[in-house]
Amino acid sequence: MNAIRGIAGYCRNIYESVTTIATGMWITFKTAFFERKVTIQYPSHDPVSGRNRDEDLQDRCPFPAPFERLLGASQRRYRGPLAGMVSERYRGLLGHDELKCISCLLCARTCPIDVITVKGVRIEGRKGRAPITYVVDYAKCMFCGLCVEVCPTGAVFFTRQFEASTYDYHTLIRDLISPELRHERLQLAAAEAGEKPADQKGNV
Amino acid sequence: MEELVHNLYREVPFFQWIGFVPTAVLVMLACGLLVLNFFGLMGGLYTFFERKVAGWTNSRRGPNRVGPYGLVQFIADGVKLILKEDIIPAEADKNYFRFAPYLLLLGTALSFVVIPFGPILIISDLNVGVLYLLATGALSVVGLIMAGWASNNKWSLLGGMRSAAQIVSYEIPMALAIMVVVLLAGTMSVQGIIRHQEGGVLNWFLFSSPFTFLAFLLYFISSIAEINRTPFDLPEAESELVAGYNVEYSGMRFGVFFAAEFSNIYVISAVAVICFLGGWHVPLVGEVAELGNRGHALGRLLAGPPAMVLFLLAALPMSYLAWKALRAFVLDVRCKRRLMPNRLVRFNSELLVLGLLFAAIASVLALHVPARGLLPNLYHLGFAYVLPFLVFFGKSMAVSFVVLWLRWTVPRLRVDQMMLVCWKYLIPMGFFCFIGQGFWSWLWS
Repeated sequence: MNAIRGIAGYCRNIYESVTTIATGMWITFKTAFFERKVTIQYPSHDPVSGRNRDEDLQDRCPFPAPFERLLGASQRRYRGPLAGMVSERYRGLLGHDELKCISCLLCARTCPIDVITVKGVRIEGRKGRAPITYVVDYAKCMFCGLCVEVCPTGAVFFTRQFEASTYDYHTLIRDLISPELRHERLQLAAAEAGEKPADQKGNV
Repeated sequence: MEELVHNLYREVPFFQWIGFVPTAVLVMLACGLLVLNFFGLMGGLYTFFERKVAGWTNSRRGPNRVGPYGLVQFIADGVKLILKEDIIPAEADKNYFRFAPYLLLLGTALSFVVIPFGPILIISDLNVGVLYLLATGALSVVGLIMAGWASNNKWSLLGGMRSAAQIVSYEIPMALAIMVVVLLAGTMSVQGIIRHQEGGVLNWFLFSSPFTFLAFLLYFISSIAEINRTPFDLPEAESELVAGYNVEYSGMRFGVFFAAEFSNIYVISAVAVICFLGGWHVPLVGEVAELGNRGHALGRLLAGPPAMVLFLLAALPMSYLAWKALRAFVLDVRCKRRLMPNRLVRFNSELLVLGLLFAAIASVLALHVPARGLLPNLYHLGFAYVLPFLVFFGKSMAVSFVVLWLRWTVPRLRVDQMMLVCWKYLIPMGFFCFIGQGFWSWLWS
């Protein structure tokens, strides 16, 4: 009796090893040839549009797609822009909405490492002061988010932009107000300061 | 190679002038150069192939940056390894440490002596070819244990000891499985075994009897253990032994270990093809000839090796073109259904037409040009060298794919399980196959 049980166990071992290995190999085979690859070819994959920049690095699978469904392979694949993969509250580079900004300097003061430099001028018809420079030193920024929290108008915020690599860190010191806008505002401010009546006339 | 030496000596005045022995030495050097280069290239390509298969099974893509499809990746890796510092531990046995990788390489490279590339292309068709293959396979254990000992590291030594136990154990089922083939073929010569499987897929030793089929599986499992690959890669089990016998190796010495391991995959696949999968015999030629003998029209049309060769040679580019056309068509449909964004590859019927045209020309050529007619030398070249090489290589690659595929599926065994599989399962099954095949042959004779 024991001998029979032993032989049965022996045969069952062989049977089980063969079937389990076959199952596993079928799964890997299916994954290897009939499934969309999940890799996002990052530098080639445009992070904004979600398209591939290099034609030769297209999203290929070795066998044509109709087989995938027949074999029940997974169809899950992210198709949109890469920024969509970044989480909602990702702390990317600081962004600045100059229409909302009142140049109250709260962000600059609260920053523990003096990343932000703000200058503003008073312009007629705009609440607070209009910013003429908003310099952020991204090289120093540690993305603590104090400026974002303290901003009363929500003008400072985190973008989901993360591509900031550069060969020269000076390029990371950026003024978020364009030179044209600054020029315009400076002129406006000078005009208001110098010839108030004329300006008021002009406004009327 | 012997015939080549004799022919050169007889025919070419230059070789008569330098004498027989220098001729032989020159030919040997040339063959060695060719085979070692093939060996290195295979090792490199296998690293690429392995990483590609690993990527696919993990839903990734594998290397695709360096060169087309990432094919040149292995050269980049080689350059990296050469540029790395070659560290020899202070307490290591320096001479053995330096020598061990080359011993391992030697064991693999020697196997290439009897691995054929076609009916004529073989360095030396030894009359004990298969035995020689087993012997060179066992040589690698010396290299591994030497590396383990010379590193003066506990992990290395354990890896080396494990490899010794494993390789010596798995030699037995492997040899038993090959014995079944030797029993059938009545020879140990590699070319003799292949010639014995002539005439179609059903004449391959794989399908010759249930026992040979089992022997093939036995051979396959034990050869994987023999070359230390997952699920039997206990000598370098990184979760237990850091990296086993090659912990202390770095730079190009490590690279040499790797090249030897990866070329070993080609060796075991080639042996599987030689012993069980019909070697360089083209599949389906035999079946078509059989049809012709029975009087079927299609068989008569396609019968005859030269016609078949041309047809198959033409079928390769044809099927490639047809495949391209089909793929482009599928993509086109998917683009139209907005299942995927538009792309540059669109269906064009020219591809399909071109493929069909190619097929038609090839068929006409294959049917109407007799062997001694148009371009007989080309026929000869195709039939004697190119096609058998491609077929042999293709079969080996298919077997190697299974080896790689298995690696990325099955987890590593424990040491005791590894020994148990060998001594309690594979060896009894090997004897069962051997004796069973004896009875089978006796019954059917």
